[in-house]
Amino acid sequence: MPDISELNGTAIDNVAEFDGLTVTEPFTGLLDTYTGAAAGYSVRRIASSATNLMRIREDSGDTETDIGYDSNGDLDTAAIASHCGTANGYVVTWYDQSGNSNNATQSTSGSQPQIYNGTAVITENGKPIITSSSNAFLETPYDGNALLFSVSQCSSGAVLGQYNKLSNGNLTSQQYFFYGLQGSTDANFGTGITLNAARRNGSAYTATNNSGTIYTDFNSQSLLYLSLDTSGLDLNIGYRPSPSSNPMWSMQEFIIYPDTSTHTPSNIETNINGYFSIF
Amino acid sequence: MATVYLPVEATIPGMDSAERAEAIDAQVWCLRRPASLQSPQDITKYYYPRITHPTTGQVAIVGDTTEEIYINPLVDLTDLLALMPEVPQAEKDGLVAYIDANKGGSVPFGQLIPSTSTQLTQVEAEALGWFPDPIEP
Repeated sequence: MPDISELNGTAIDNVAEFDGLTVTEPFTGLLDTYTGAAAGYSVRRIASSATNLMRIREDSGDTETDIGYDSNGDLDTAAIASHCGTANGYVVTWYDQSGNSNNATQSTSGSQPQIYNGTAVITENGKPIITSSSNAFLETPYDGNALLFSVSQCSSGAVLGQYNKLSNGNLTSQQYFFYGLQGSTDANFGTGITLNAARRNGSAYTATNNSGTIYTDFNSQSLLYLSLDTSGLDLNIGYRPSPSSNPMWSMQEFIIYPDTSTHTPSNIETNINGYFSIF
Repeated sequence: MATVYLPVEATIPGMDSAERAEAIDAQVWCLRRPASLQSPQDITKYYYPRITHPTTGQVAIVGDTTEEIYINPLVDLTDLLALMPEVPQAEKDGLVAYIDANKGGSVPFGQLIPSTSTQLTQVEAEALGWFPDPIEP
């Protein structure tokens, strides 16, 4: 086999053009570098195998379409604007880029989070963000203990996530985590959750069981890491319908590793912050 | 906004409360986007959230009586009417006429709820044990 590590004395990695054709570096995303994720959802391409990032619905004719990424690996906001026009755009599926098909979905129109407001894609710190003002949540098939990374923002009354739980054969909801309510002293995580560790913006974070503190600490864009133990069923991003309005945390990226993962959290945080520039 | 909780009874043989609630919810969505317009790839299939009673397992549709539901001109009520065996025929006929008169427009959801349905306010639903959640309103 001929040695092609060099082309005419130039290392092959430094060849930008060959015979008039641009040589493109293969894409390497967060999930390619830090393998073993159970699921990864983002407003950017985070895996070389990813094709579409989300599926959206416009609320004029209720037509749906898949949305991919542009040449920079960013969510194709032009495609969202083109599909929605003057209608609002809602997320029906946030595609899992890990290759495990653990897509986060919402089949009820009234519970779908929003990405487009009839004029433009909703953004935070210059990047698209999925948001909700009412009981929006996305359901995933993942049901194990988890190491979670999220780029997100808590509005008052919002819930980051929830594991469903069966009691007497019926679904209950005590296994919510990170509920934030301005001025409140309510518990911020349910009785079925064990929080092993938390990090906020690259540093260790002591999570008090106080929803008012959670709101204060996370009502601006944050990079949150959680290590959770739970015996619940499928994970929701956000909180299932409740008597009050519990929106989901506005979200830009949500990555789930099983608790057997041995990746160093700070290394993954460096990758995430390199894109989102949070801290 | 006027939230209403509609516990769904298992009045159709072979269908439990959850299945009938899901079917009704899907038909409410079909008022806006009829099945004839839906794509097999569509993810959106239901209009309103549903909750499950933690003790009885009964499912309730969480609606909004004042919300305007768009009535698509291509709406077909056949399947929705089949899910209401306990509703008097005269009332069903009235519903059909009402929908026909409003095709292309919108109607408040409250006008679509059958007289045979139990309607609960949030306070009433809470008193009946529908909400054991620790998160306070």
